[in-house]
Amino acid sequence: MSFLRTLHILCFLFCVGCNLQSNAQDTAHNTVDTNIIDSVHADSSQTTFDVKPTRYQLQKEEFTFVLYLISSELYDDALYTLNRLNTDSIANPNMQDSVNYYIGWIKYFKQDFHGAIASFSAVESSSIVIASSFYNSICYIQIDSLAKARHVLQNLDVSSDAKLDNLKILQLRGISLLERDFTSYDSLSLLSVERSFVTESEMNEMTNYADLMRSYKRKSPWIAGLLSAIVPGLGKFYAGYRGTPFGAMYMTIPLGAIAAESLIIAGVASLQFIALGALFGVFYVGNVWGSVLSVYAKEQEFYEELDHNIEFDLHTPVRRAFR
Amino acid sequence: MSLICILPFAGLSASPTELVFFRSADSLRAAGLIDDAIIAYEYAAYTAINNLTRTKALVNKADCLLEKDRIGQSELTLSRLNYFGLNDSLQYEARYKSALYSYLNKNFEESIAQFKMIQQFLPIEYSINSKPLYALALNETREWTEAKEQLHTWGKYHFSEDTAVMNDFNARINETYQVKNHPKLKDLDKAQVWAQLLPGTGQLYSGYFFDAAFTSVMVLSGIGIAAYGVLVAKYYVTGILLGYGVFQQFYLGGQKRSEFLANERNYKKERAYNDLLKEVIIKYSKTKKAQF
Repeated sequence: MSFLRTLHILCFLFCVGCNLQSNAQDTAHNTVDTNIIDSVHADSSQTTFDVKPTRYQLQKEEFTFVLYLISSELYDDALYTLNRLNTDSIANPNMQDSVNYYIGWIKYFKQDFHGAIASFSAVESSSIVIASSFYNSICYIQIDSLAKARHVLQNLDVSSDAKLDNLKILQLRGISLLERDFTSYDSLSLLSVERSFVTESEMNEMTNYADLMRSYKRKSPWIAGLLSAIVPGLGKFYAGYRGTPFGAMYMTIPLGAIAAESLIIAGVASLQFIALGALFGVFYVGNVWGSVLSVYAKEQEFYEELDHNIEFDLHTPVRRAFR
Repeated sequence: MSLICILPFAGLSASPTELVFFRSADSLRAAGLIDDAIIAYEYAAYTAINNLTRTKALVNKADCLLEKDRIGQSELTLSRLNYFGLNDSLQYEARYKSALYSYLNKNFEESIAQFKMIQQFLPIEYSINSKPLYALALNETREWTEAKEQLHTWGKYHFSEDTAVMNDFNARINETYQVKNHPKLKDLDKAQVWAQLLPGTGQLYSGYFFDAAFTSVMVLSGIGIAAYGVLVAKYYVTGILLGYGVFQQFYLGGQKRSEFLANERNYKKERAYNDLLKEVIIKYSKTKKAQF
């Protein structure tokens, strides 16, 4: 079966090679970064030939087909073809890098961040190593490995390109905010950056996020607990919740009323009061404790929302820079 | 001027190179290498200079995807087809498969839209064959009268040489599609109104007796608890709060449940009726004269 499969693939690849001269694949080229295409098409002088196509030419044509699949959003097909191509020993190191880069990119797109990191890390040389590193750092951020994301960026030398240097600083600023490391954020803010459409709006957003984080003051859990002890649910209202306090009131106050009535009618030593009082006590103490915790929960929600926005604003310029 | 005349027909012949790709994909499929065949057909479509080869390649790719149970992607693949310049038989095959895969993907509106295209753009010799599946799709969207008409047209064409079979077919279709046999669907608003007026009757309206009985008992219990607390035990607060709590939960819950059960009943009725129709249509579609 495997022999048959190999035979068919060879036959298919031969057919692909025969068709080299007749194809113009402009559609795919429009959607990818020029740097990446350059690495694949560096050998463009060899696109025409009279004899049997070389292994490189066959692989190059198949890779061009992959670019078409990606531009047509046929990601499953593209990934399958790339993996198949990857199992062959690829003749050209630039193409090997491109294959790894696109496997990484598709996995990143499908949110398989661990798989994407493995593929991006396999890119060793050529011009796409920069793009791979940026995507790699994004993937590390997604899996909460912020130190690794920082490490990848710090090892990246893009000082010769102002646009990419801006992008690197933006990423590092974002990571600092995600780590709540304001000292590092401030030192990065001191670096002078040129205005660039790739990063400008996100740079401003980072400043806003930093200001929001700095100005955020957590409410006092003591006050929240005390308020809930006086009026059930009021502590949650103080913490910032608007719907749940009434839910707490509807449960605790009627239970309190029932227990009180039981106390008045049956007396403090009655089994009925002990049961209802205990039930009310559980709800009452639970409500007070819940109000204390709600202050921390609200704080966590605040930071989670900001983290989400920061991550989004780190993705967007990378996608913009390496379309 | 000559170019204008030639261009509309430019896509009707395939170059030998294109056919090589196509055959390579075919052989992969024949060898059971479906995943490779899917890519190979896509490649054949990608390299195709004429629309005919591209269409064939994409149709075959969709078939392969279906073999791998990727129905959604099959439908998506056929949505990429361009029907311009195709001959009638290929256009019919492509549109029919597109309608079929949409039907299998439970996208009935899209399936019906394709059948309407077949009727509009292709001769009756082609469109007639698609009518049984068209009727199945119409059944799913509750357009039973239209489905019946489509089946009568199909029967008249296919069984014209055998009057006995045609009469039998027509009688069966008329009988099955009688308006009195159409599922009597429950009105969701009515179910909710009943549940508001008298707790439990909403469920009873949809035919769920035990559900109705349970809701009624629980709502009455709420009232009973309140009455007992106030009138007998003299636990006014406890009686009212507890009684009201039970009453409110089951009264409001009963209204939502009534709507849910009416929906469920409608689905079951429709499914039962459409499955019966499906059986009849498939039975007659399998008759010797009705091979399509």
